Amino acid sequence: MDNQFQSLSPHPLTEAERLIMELERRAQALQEDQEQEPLVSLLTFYLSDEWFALPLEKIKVVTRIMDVTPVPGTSPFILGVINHKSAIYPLIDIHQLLKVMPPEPTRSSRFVILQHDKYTLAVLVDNMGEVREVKSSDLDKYVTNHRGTSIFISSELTIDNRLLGLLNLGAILNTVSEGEIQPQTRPKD
Amino acid sequence: MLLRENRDHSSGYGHAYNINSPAFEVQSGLDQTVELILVQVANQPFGLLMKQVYNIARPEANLFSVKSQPDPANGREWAEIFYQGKTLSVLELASKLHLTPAEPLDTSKILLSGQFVPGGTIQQPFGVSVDDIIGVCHIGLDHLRLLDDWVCRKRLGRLIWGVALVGRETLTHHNGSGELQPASPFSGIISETGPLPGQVQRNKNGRIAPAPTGSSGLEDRSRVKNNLPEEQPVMLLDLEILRATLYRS
Repeated sequence: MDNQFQSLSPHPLTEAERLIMELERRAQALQEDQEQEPLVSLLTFYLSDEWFALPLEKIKVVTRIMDVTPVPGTSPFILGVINHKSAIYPLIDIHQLLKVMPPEPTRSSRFVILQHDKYTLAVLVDNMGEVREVKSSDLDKYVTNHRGTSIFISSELTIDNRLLGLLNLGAILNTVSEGEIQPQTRPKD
Repeated sequence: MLLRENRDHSSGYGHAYNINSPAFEVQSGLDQTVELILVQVANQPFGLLMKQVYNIARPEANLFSVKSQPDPANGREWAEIFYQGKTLSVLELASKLHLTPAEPLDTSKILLSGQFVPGGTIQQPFGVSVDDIIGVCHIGLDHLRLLDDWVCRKRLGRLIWGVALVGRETLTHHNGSGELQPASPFSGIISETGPLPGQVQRNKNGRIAPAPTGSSGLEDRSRVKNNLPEEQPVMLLDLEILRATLYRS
């Protein structure tokens, strides 16, 4: 009976076996951590009813509408320059580029001042959204051509059953300046 | 950050001083100003370096008479005037800026410029017609900003070389008609835009507090004032570019 009882009882783990199990658990946890993708913060905003976003890291400040000084001889997409805290920023209007009907500016309109490469500029938006965090792999979903605006949108995401377009600032600036800025590649990383 | 005029005082007979160039060198620690003549073109103020202007011909003083108007069809984009017994070529600043002038040539003011050389003589003289002259002001070099190349260099070259932050009171028109400024597409709603999300007042329950009612006029004025900076950007033009264009053609 004594021998039978010993054979039915669980075999006590040796110290080596416990260490092996612990190492396996840690390895598995490490692998799971590595599989978790980094998140990218996006500042979302609206042009008319359409939802767009820019990487939060590029945003310097969001400001209320202020006086705009027209600049002669500019591209039709440049509304002029603004004076924000004694710094001068070109203000661009991307409604036309994105084939969005520009509404009249309202109380909700904002200027988003952002930095792209060495250029700092302001973009007119109709309404601000919230900051969203998305997986970096979601940004690799390139846009199929529709309305001829796909070059200005680097990726499209579906969040809360709504379509969110991440703007391709390089392509936008390249078009706005009519080739005076070298074309940028898609921001894959 | 201050700027220092980049003068080319190379020694030797016959060298022209490059004192007309608006190219500036960044330097810190100096308290310098630049003298600007503010002009009005198509209801918008522009700034010119005073050192590039040696005289002003006003129509009311009968200092000049128009000899011929521009003839772009035959490749002549400048007008000609009689000034002090000589024929002088005059460029219309509004057309160079792709704007519509408010005043015809015979009633516009003409700024006289040219290449200044040692000895006080002026070579390659020419005139630039503007709608009106607002005045002369001294601007600290720390109030000058460069304009990014991509904004307007493709169409205008280096004609617009920078921006000056000029006090709004300086731009008040001399005839008392009010502040001279270009028509901003947002001028109607500047004072109406709501607070930013971070500026929303919340009460201690975490709810958004209602906007205070019955605010005083003083508060309203300060709100408008906050949205309108005291200094207005004024485009700075380089007359040397026009001179080079005129005498190259």
